[in-house]
Formats: sequence, C-alpha cells, structure tokens
Amino acid sequence: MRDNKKDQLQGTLDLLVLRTLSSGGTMHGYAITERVQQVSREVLRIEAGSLYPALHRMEESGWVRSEWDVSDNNRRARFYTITAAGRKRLSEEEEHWTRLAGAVTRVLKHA
Amino acid sequence: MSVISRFLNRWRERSLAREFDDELRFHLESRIEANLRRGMSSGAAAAEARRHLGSTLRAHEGMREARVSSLFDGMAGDLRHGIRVFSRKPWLSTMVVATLSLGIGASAAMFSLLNAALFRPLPFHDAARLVAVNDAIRGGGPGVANLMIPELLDVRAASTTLEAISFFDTRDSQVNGGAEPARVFAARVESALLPMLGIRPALGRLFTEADGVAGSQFVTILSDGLWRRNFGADPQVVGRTLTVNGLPHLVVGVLPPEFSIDYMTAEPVELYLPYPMIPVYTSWTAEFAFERRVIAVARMTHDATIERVSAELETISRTVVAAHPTVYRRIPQVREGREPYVAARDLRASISEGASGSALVLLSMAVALVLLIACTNTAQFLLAKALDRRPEVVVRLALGAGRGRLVRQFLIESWLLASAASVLGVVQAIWLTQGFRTLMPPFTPLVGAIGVDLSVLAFTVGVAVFTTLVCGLAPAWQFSRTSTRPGTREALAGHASTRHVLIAVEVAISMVLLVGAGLLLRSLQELQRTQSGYEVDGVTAMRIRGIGGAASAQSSALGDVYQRYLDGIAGLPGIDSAAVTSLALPSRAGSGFSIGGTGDGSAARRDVASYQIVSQAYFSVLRIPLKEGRTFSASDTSGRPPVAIVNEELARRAWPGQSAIGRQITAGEGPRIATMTVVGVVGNIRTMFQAGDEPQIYVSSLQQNEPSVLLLVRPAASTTLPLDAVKRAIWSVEPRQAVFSIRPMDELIAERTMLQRAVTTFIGGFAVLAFVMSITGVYAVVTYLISRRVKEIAMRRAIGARGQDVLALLAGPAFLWTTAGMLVGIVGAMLGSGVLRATVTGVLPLDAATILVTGLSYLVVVGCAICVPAFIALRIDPVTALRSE
Repeated sequence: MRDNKKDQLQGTLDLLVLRTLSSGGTMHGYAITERVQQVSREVLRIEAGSLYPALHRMEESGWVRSEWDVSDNNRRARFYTITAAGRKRLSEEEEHWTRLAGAVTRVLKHA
Repeated sequence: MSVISRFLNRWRERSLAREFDDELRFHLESRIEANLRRGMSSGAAAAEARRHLGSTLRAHEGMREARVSSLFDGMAGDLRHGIRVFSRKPWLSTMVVATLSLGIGASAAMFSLLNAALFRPLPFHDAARLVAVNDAIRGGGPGVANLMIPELLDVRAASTTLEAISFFDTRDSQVNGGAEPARVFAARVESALLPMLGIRPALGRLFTEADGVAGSQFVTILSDGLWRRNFGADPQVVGRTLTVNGLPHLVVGVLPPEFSIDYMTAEPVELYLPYPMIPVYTSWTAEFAFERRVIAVARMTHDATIERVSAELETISRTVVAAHPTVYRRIPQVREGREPYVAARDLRASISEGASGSALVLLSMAVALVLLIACTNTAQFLLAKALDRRPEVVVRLALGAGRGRLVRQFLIESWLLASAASVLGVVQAIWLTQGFRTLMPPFTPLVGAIGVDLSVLAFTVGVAVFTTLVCGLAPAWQFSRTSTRPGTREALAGHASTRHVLIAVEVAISMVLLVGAGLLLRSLQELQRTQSGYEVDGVTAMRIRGIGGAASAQSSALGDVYQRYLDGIAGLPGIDSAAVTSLALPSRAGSGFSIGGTGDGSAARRDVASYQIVSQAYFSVLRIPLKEGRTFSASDTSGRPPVAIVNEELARRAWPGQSAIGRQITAGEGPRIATMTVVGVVGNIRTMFQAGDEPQIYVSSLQQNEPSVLLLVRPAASTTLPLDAVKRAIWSVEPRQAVFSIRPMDELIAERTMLQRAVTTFIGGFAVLAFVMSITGVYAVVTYLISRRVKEIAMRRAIGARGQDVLALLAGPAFLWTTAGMLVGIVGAMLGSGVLRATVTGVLPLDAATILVTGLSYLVVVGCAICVPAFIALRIDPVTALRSE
C-alpha cells in the first residue's frame, strides 16, 4: 500500500490532522492549521490547498465527521470531529510513523 | 456507502461548491482577523491571508475530487470519441453491429420462447398451489399415466392436504346445425374443475354437481371462441340450444376469453361438457375403468407442501392399490413386482417438461454459443481498432491518463456497439418469434403466447451488458498492460497471440454447432429413409368420430357404419381404395400378445406387437403386400370367429419355418382381449423411429368397435381426390357425421418428426450463422495481422525468402490455432452429441464420417479465409511496399 511517495505524504498529513483533532476535540480547518503550526513551532505549515481536500477525503472515508456551526468570532464555519474509525486509523498511522522515524534515525546513527 | 454518496454528489455539485467557498472564505477571513489583531494594516492583512491560503483553485479541485465520483467525468467526451471512431469506418462498423445484432436477436427470441414455455406462470388463480396428479410406478421409468376415475374419487375422499381435486378429459364432438356437421374439440370437465382453477363465467354459470348425473338435462358451456364464431357473440346465448353429438344441449354459460385449459390438452378446447358421473365411469368395476384415464388437477391447502401432498398420496394409494389388486395387476411392471402409487407434482413443471422443454434448453445453449461467437468477432474488431490507435493510447498514457480511463473508453465503445446491436436485435427478435410459431408443433399454447414483452426486453439489456463486458474487456485488458514505451515487436506479438486464441475459440464453437447440425441432418435423413414397406403418396387422411359409440368393445356396431361409408366412397369415380384404421401406421410402443394353441401343448409365448384395428382395404390403400393367406373380408363380423392378420416378422418369430395361417393368437388390452385365428400374413412396415422389423398385428374393424378412426382414401392414379364427393358419400349414410383434420397422409407422418425437424432447423440455422461469423472473423483477423506486416514481408522477399516460406510464416500460426480450435470443437461436439441424443429421439450416435466431412469442409473454407489474404500479401511488389511511407 505504502510504496508510493504521494501516499506517504498524504499519510503524514492525515496523521497530523487526526492527531490534532484527537487532542483538540472539534475544530474548524483554520484552527487545525494554526494548531499544527504552533505546536510544531512554526516548522510545519499546512496549506489550505492540501488541508481541505484531506479533510473531505477523510470524511468520505469515515475517519472524521463535520457539521456547520457558529465559530467564536460569530461566523458560520465547518467543524470537524474525529470518529472511532479515525482514532483507529490514527493509531495505525502513529505506529507506522514511529517505526519509520525510528528506522531513519537508526540509519542516520549507524550507517 | 461512500461510493453511493460520491455518486449522488454529482447532482449537487453546485451546492457543494458553495460549501467549499464558504469554508475557504471562513479560513481567509479568520486569517485576516488574526492579522489585524497582530496590528497589520487591512491591505497587508488581506494580502498575507491570501498568500497563506495558497491556491484556492487547488483546494477546490481537491475537495471536489474527494467528494464527487469521477467515474463518469468526461463520459460525454468518450461517447463522442467512440462515435467518431466508428463513423470513420462506417461499413465495417455496420457489419460488426449487424453480426452482433444477429447474436443478440437470436438470444432474445430464444429467451422469449423459453420464458413462454418454462417460466411464465399459468393464468390460473393462485397457480402456485396447483398440482398435477397421476399414476406412477416406483422406481420411475415408463408407467406414468393419467389417473383412473375411481382412483381419483378415492383420493378425493381420503386426502386432507388437497383442498380440491378434479379432472377432465377431451374428445372430439360434433356440433350440428351449420353448413355441414362440424367437429369441435370438447373437454368433459368434472363440476369442481373450473371453480378450482378460479374461473368465473363471462356469461351464465359454471357446471354444478347436478349437471353430470344420470337423467339430468344435457348442458354445455361455450369457450369465448366458439361463442363468437358460432353465435356471433350473442349476449343472450344462455338458454339457447346447441346440438352436440346429435343431442340438443342447453347453453348454460360462456367462459372468458383469457381462460383456457389448453395448456393441458392436445388442441384448443372449444366446448365444455359436464363429465357424466355415472357408474359406467366412476365405478372400479366399469368395463373401461382401467383404460379410461383422466387428466387430474388438484389444489393444495394453504399450509401444504408438494412433499407433504406426495407423502399423503402414497399412503392413500397403498390402501387403494390393496383394495383393487386385479386392476393394478394389469400394469406389466406391477406384475413384475413393482409398486404403483399416485404422485403429485407442480402443475407448471408437469406441463412444461417433456421433450420440447429440454429441446428448448438445448437450443438456448446453442444460441448462447452463437452469441459468444458474435461477441468474439466484436472483440476482434475492437482489438483491431485499439491496435490502430496504439499511438494515441501511448500518448494518452504518457500524458497521464489513468488506465481506468482507458478501460472505460474501450467499454464505452463496446457499449455503443452493443446497444446499437441490441436495438436491432430486439427488432429481429420480434420478427423471429413470429417465425417460431410456424416451426413449432401446430398447437402449443405456451409457445403460442410468445412475444417480446418486458421480461424479454430486460433480458436483452442483460445480454447487452454481458456483450459490452465480454467485447470491451479483451482490448481493455490488452491495453492495461501496454507500457508507455513506443510499441515493441514483443508487444505486437502478444496481441497477435490473443487474436489467435480468439480465432480458436470461434472455430471451436462453430465446429460444435456444425457437427451438431450435420449429425441432426443425417439423423433426419436416416429417419426418412428407414420408412419402408408402405406408400402414402397421394393418400388423404381424415378423422372421423363414429356416432353412437356406446356399444361394447367387441362389436361391429361402428365398424358396420364405417363399412357403409367405405362402400359409398369406393363406388365413387376416381377412387382407388379407402379404409379406416385406428392408427395411421403401426405404433412403436406395442402391447402384449401371446400365442397359444400351437398344438404341441407348449406353454404360451409372450411378446410385444403393435395392435391396430383396420378395415379390409387398409393394405391396398398403403400398398402393403399380402404375403400369405387372405386379408379381412366382409364376412369377418362380430358374430363370426375372430380373425387377425400378422406381419412377416411376427410370423417368423412365433412360428419359425412354419406357416402362420390357422394359428391362434391372443392380443388386445382390457375388454378387447380376444383369441383370434391368423388368416393372413402381410409385409413388414418400418416406420420412422424403427431400427428393425417389429411384430405387427391387425384386427378387423368389423370385429372391434373403435369410435375414433382415421379414414384413408387413395385416389385413382394421377387424379386428385374428389373430397366433396367423399363427404357427400359419408353424409348420404349418416348426415350428422363430421369429417375433420383432412390432410395429406405424408404430412401427417412428417408431423411425427416435428421436434426433430424444428431442432434441426434451429441448430442448422445457428450453425450457418456461426459458420459465416467465424469465417469472416478468421478472414478479418488474418487480413489485419498481415496488413501490419507488409513491410516485413517485403523485406524478407527482398533478401530472398521464397514465397512458400513467407506463406508458411503468415498462414502457419493461423492454421495452427484454427486446427487447435477444431480439435477442441470436435471434443465439444462429442459431448454435445450426447446431450442431443438424450434430448431428441432418433439422433444417431456421432460417427467419424460426420466429424470428418464437417471438419474437412470447414477446414477447406477456413484455409481459404487464411490463405487468400496471405496470397494477396505475397503479390505485393516488395519494392513498392518498401518504398511506401
């Protein structure tokens, strides 16, 4: 499944979004980008052009669900919540990422 | 679910786009607000936010891709592309569509036939609960017969799983009052039958129990047809009188047009009479109780199943059989120790099964093969088109077209072909179903109801989808493996082998059908050829039902009447001879006879022979030679010692090396059993399905009463029969006598092979279709493959290859695959011939000659189809070929 570069990048984006939603509860897209940027100390910036397709794709896959609600600044916004299937997916993605990161780290250290 | 919602989202793209806009705008505005909070100027805040947001177009597209199924994107474009591709070669495309439409049309027509004959429910109220009830012998085999009336009445009294059981039989009846005495086909129905089937009369009433009893008034119910024809659809017909069989009958009702019990009868029923429920018919001890069999239909109770009914009937019949051992012991299998019982089965199944049912299944298999060839041909065509478009495909792949898109393009193209062909096919099916009726036995009500209805259209749609997939997937599969590198020789070779496999498939299927057709044709010829010992050309047959047939079996009452007709006819000018007979020709299924009185006291020998009641001149009408003794004479009447005439085969078997004249023979069934003296020996008759000579017994119509006879008249040499004079001669004796079913006797005999001829015509037609399709297919493929190698051939020739080498190179693979296909086809034909023999009686075992003749002829034609394009390619001047391009 994961032999494709595009898939891998997508998987990483999914991981970031799902993780953010899993700790932050119900959030809109803008809040997700802000949160990732903030937590990653400005290293990771998610573009809207990637984020929103990913959110919609994940909703079609059943990992998140969305509803329109009123935001803090009194505007209509689309809020996303992680689902049970999404949490399962998240743990898989986390495990995958940890394994990959560990492997890369080992190579950097010992190769 | 996601698939469906994504599909459905196609129809709300606009509202989706609005949502995307709203979401992105919220993002933008949130950023601007944040920027403003950070103290930016409003212009700078907006600019930064827009930069931050990035490409909204990409976001839009990405979201759309996530939300909306792209399966049908650009479909219209693909369609237009397909139409353009086909219209570039209009003739070839038309040919392909026409070929495919033949396959689809034949399938649709065959389905309509199958649907009418096997699947469509019977037009009776709650027909699923109706069962047919009959006599059977444990262990199956022959012996299934209609029920005896007293047997049925016993079952009716005892059964709890049957809500109702009733019966009817059919007989010729005469209706007088018209221009000449008319014969109508009548059903005698027991009073419970019509209510059980859920019939309501269109006019008047149905029969009641009081109608059948002795001394009740004669009543009758008309079918819709007879009511319209004989009474001009008179709404006041109830209460009028109709003379049936010489007696006035009161019309008490008219049935609705849609009703018919014709599904269970040999001819359409026009008139209904109440079954006479008198001891002569209903008692176990009645003279004909064993012989008089009726068609029994029952309705199960709501909670009963066919299994429970069967189990109950077996229990009941055990008691019934035990109570009437002498009756049941008349069944030969019972005497051999096997057990008779009463069986029930689904009415629909019992009607549609039998020879014609399995023949239909056989023909459907054949038509499926034809469809497969048509599909293969179409696939070949699409593959060729695809190969021509190889550069286009490679470019599209290189530009990033998904392979899915390419597969879809091919499927759309094959779908275009399939739908065009289906429309044409339905038109053909409408036309073919009309033709079927003429090929089918003259009266087949289930088939009579065939036509193209919704279920046939649904079937055609299914066939079109099937065709689309089969035809489109081959090229699609080929190209899903295509690499984006420029076409290599290996890739081309791969295509060629696919095409050769397709050729082999076509050839194999054609061989199966051709060999099958050849076998059927040979069998039919053999059937015609085996007839010997008689001549029917010029003889006219007509049917007569003797009037006043209530006399006992062994009397001359009717025989005397027939003799007076015959005397009248013989006195006419232009008549060679005339006779009556109980059977047109001796039957194959004989009945038992025994010979005794040989004088030496040896135990009686038993054998089986055909038993036929004939008048004096039967042998001269059919030109059957008298070998010894005499034929019947006018003095062989009921008061005189009973006499018989046997054929040479019987004489040879019974009294080898001795004269048969004067010997005693006991034959006949039931009340007909009589011991007779043999007075003559005639030549053997071999009828259509007879392999060898079989024993035949003839008894005199003056000594055995037979109400239903055939009148055979042979006109004087080279004259036509004066039919009106013959009728007048009969009416001068008995003005009420109806004469019907007047037909040439050879036609009557040919009817015995109706099924054989129908199957042969169908399979033959399919084989011709398959032959033409496969040959054109092979020709097209070889031509195509060679056309792609013109330069290679020229090159080879230029560097000195001999013509025959190039020919071998070009034609070799095609020949190899064709031969392989033929071998597979022959194996298939061997298996198929087994099915054929099991389905159609009279089909010979598959012999080497049929295979050889069919195979060789096919090989010659296929050889031409392969070699002609190869020769044409050889004749191209190498220099010209190399210079081109």
